[in-house]
Amino acid sequence: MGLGYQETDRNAFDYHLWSLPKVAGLLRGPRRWSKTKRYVTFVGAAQTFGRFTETPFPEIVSRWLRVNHLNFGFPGAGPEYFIQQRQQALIDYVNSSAACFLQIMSGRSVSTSLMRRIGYGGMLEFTGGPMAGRKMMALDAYQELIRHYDSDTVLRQVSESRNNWTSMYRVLLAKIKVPVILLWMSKEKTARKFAATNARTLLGEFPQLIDENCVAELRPLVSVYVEATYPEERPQLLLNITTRKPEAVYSEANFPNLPHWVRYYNTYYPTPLMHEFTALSIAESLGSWPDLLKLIRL
Amino acid sequence: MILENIVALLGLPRSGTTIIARCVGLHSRVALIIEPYHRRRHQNYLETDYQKLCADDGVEVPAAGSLLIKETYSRKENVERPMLCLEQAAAQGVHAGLVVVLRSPVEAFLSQVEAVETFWKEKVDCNNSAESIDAFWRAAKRSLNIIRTRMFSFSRRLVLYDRFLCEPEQELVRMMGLFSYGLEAAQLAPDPIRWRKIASLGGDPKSADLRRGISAESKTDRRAQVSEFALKYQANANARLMMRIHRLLEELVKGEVYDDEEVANQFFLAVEQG
Repeated sequence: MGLGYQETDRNAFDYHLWSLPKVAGLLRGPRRWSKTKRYVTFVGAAQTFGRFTETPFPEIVSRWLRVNHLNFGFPGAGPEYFIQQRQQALIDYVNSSAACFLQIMSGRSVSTSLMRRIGYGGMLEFTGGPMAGRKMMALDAYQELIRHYDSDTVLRQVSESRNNWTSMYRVLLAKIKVPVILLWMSKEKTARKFAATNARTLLGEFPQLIDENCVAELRPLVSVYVEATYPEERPQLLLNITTRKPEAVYSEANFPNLPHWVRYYNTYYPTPLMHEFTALSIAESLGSWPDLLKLIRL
Repeated sequence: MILENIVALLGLPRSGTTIIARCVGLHSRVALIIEPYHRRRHQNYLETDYQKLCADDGVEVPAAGSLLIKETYSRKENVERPMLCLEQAAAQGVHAGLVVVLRSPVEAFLSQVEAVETFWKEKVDCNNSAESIDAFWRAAKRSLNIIRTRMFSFSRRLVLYDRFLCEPEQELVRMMGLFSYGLEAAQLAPDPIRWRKIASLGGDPKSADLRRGISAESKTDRRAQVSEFALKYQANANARLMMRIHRLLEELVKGEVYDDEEVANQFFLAVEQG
């Protein structure tokens, strides 16, 4: 999964991908982990991976904590990715760590009675109704849902998605035996409004579909909850790793429909400043939990 | 020819560059050229256009593939030319990367002495003497200075030979990340025909034996020789520096330092302090 980002982004970023025995998927580097030293783990999606940043928040936080870390951020991942049987080795690494920082991931690719998740790249397939058999990216799928199905059906799918998402997080949290720091990372606060006007207003900003009720259900199950709501920032210009000139990461060959200027910018993933803000939010929250901090730093 | 990546793999002679290059070169999308400049040094071969380099070597890069050039530090041209090749390719929009293989210079020197005595066809002036040590380190230092000043232009991986022997899969994954390719099963368990083909490109005949595999036991145990070297040449400044680097590399492996920048900083600082 990280390989896809590395291939697209290679002229602008070197993600130093590496592998861990028995863990499916490549990890974001540089490697800062050894078998014999204390470490913490970061579990999540592309935001935890740190696309388009040289120093993602797991790197910043673990430097501050003066411990090693494993970055289990996988592009496109949701809770379902981590509860698969083939990820048991990953869970074992989490359970050998001092603590786990668990990102609140998107709910837009969760299977419902009408839409089935395909793989872990954000694709859904309609399993019934007028769109039965059609496969597309989640944003498009929800747009088609609004267009072709009645409003009760739309609301039911959203509700199912949230319920399924929460159930999967419960399963994941039950597997983790070390202190968990649950992390909300978004441009929006949890107390946000959704509207079925179109797919974007229905899903909201990342983490899509997840509302304050979903988070409230999980908070009693974790040791610490951190809400990192970062301010809106201008898009990040992407630069060539060697020449420092603007780099069209989204090439015309691979992304023919994008407006020209967008090719040079990160308009979706957290910027380096947002990663710093997230790390700061974590630092401030952990500062209120001295016992947990002591446990991590032992 | 549309090239996705061009990578140079450089290291001391007898530092594992051939076996590592072969493992990388076994990837279905990587074409390998071994020592194009060293092999043709008597013809003063200096080509840096990668397309001509491939044509001169009869190498065909797979469609949407990559080129790996392996060289050693025995001459500064062996390092200058690949770096220029990378720079020219990068100017044309090809992603360029660098792998620097690090092995104890003491072990590499002792291995070279043995190779000259036993199987190198071309006899070079290298024996277990202070003069040979000085010549060996002078050549190495010239090349390392070139690498140190120019490596920051490229994505890079520093590979410790001893670590590669213990964790070949993990180190190969790291190197393949430079190409944005995943590791293929054939790279660690090659079929004999493909292995023979890649082994025929040049390099140490000892490492051509597929049955040897890759492990800590793959290299000759030179601990006793290293101790003898340290004692015998303690009055030689270059030998003392080589021993310091030997110990540093041991610590980096033992201390599980994987960060390429950290390894580079410590290694090149040690080289400069000499």
